Amino acid sequence: MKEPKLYRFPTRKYHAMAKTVLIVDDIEFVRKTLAEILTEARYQVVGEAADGNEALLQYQRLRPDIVTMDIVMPNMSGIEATRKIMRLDKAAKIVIISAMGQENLVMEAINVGARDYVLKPFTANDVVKTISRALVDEPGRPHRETQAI
Amino acid sequence: MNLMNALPEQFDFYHLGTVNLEPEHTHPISEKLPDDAMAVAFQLSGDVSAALVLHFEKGLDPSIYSEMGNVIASRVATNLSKMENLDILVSPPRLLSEKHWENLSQGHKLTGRTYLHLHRGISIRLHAILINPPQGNTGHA
Repeated sequence: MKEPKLYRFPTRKYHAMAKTVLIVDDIEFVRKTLAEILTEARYQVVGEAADGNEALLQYQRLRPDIVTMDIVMPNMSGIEATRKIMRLDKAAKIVIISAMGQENLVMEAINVGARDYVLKPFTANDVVKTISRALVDEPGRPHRETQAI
Repeated sequence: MNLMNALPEQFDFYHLGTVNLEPEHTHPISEKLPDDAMAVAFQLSGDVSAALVLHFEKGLDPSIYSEMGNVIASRVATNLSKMENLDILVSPPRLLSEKHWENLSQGHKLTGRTYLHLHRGISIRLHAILINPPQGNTGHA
């Protein structure tokens, strides 16, 4: 079965005010699916990362408005990457998108600073609603406090 | 505890249709990985030490079926957490070579269940195999 061609990143011309997103997931199919959904919803996907280490580097370089973060990844988990990004930037907005549905993991993710949690396999509606909700409590971009990781 | 009971019965798989467990359909599993097959493995660790292998036809997109295996393995971990209060972590996917498959399957009676992936009138058969491997040998380097 051939996967339908979904991924058109980054051909869309973005509105100047489009919110920027960093997608973090070790599986390419998930990154492409998220990029397609978010691009259609007029977000600007500015980067992708396949593990926690890469996510940390990309976050520092790109300073996206929001990050979608998987939990189970090689090298550094999404929980650890979330903890490190939050230490770096207390105003960071991170939404966990994972197939792991155990309550203790959801709580751990929230405790280290994630704004919300979407269970895989997600629908486009799940993702867009959660991302917009996570961004909505931002009347003006909060002052960023940067610390060493 | 029967790990097979924790396999999910059915789920929607993104924009790519549905995945359904075939009722009571078990299949024989070879100790050699068939030439026309690929396999992706997930290590389950914590209160249970096991591996879940998803076995599918060569030529299919391994990224799609790695994610399908990830969903199945994560649902097993979540179901065991709910049913038995077990704390289980799932590893990232690893594509298995023939050698890995032989190592993983050695000395174990392999049984599995069959899933059907249905999308736009096409059905793809996949085999989910749960293995309690020898200590320290889950096919992961």
